Amino acid sequence: MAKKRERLEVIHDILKAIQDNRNSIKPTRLLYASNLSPQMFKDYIEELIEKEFIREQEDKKGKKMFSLRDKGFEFLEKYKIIVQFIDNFGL
Amino acid sequence: MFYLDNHVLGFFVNIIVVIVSFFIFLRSKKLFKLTFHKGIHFFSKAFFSYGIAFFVNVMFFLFLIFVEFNITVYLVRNFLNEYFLALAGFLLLCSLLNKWFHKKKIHIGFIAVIIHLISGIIAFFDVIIESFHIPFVSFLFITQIIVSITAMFISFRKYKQSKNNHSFMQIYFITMVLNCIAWIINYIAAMIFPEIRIYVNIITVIMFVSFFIGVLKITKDL
Repeated sequence: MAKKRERLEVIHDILKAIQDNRNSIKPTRLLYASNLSPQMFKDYIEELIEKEFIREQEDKKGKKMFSLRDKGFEFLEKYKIIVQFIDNFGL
Repeated sequence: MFYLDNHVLGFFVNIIVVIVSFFIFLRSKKLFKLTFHKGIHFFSKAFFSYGIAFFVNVMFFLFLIFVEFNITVYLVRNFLNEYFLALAGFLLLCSLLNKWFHKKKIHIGFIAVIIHLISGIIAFFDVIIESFHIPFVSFLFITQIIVSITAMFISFRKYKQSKNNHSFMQIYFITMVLNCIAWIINYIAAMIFPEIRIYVNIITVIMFVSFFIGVLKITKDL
């Protein structure tokens, strides 16, 4: 059985999916990529928007898209350090 | 022979701990702002509290250079120092218990209120006890010895559970053992043999420098 992902791992996967999609992704595609239930996905997205990791905007056709903000990019850049810190200090 | 007065040594130890603690606090705070990870939050606050506790000592040392000894200032210093030391010990233990809190759905705000309250009670009663010169009783020492023994066992368990017996977790466990030894020696020094306090100072420096190196090594690219 697959191991349950930690909260930070889920956040990393969501942000990485946005980044890998040239920093603009549709909600349905992100839900699929994040591998979460719709309710959990909604909770995570709300948290990430509130904490300024991602933003919700509309494309030229008026469709809802998600893209990374500076904090989101920084999180991805520092993810290795974060994981190492948590592991090393048993947090 | 070079002779270093215990008080002078204590002063420099306090300064080293203040610098190291605030460095660790600032680095971990930066990581907390990126992750909102509760374990990092406890860890960061623990070192902030250590920094304040030792900073209070530094200020008291400086105060004694310029002003005559004053019992009120001495008791206020003891209260603040003990409050922040107790708080730091509890916060460091909470950082190790973070995953368990999460599993048991224990609210972080509730834990914060409890440990602030307990730390305040410990500091208050120790100041009262000291005012009445009651020997061999110190709530700070007793609670912190218990806290450090608990932290020691948790870190040992985490080290054993870590992938490939993570070498850093081994150092962390050793640091926790030193923490425990430091509190026991400190208790003996405060109650029976003040001359052995020098060992507390040495162990304290080793402990904080170990944390400093650990944090610096991981966060050098932060």
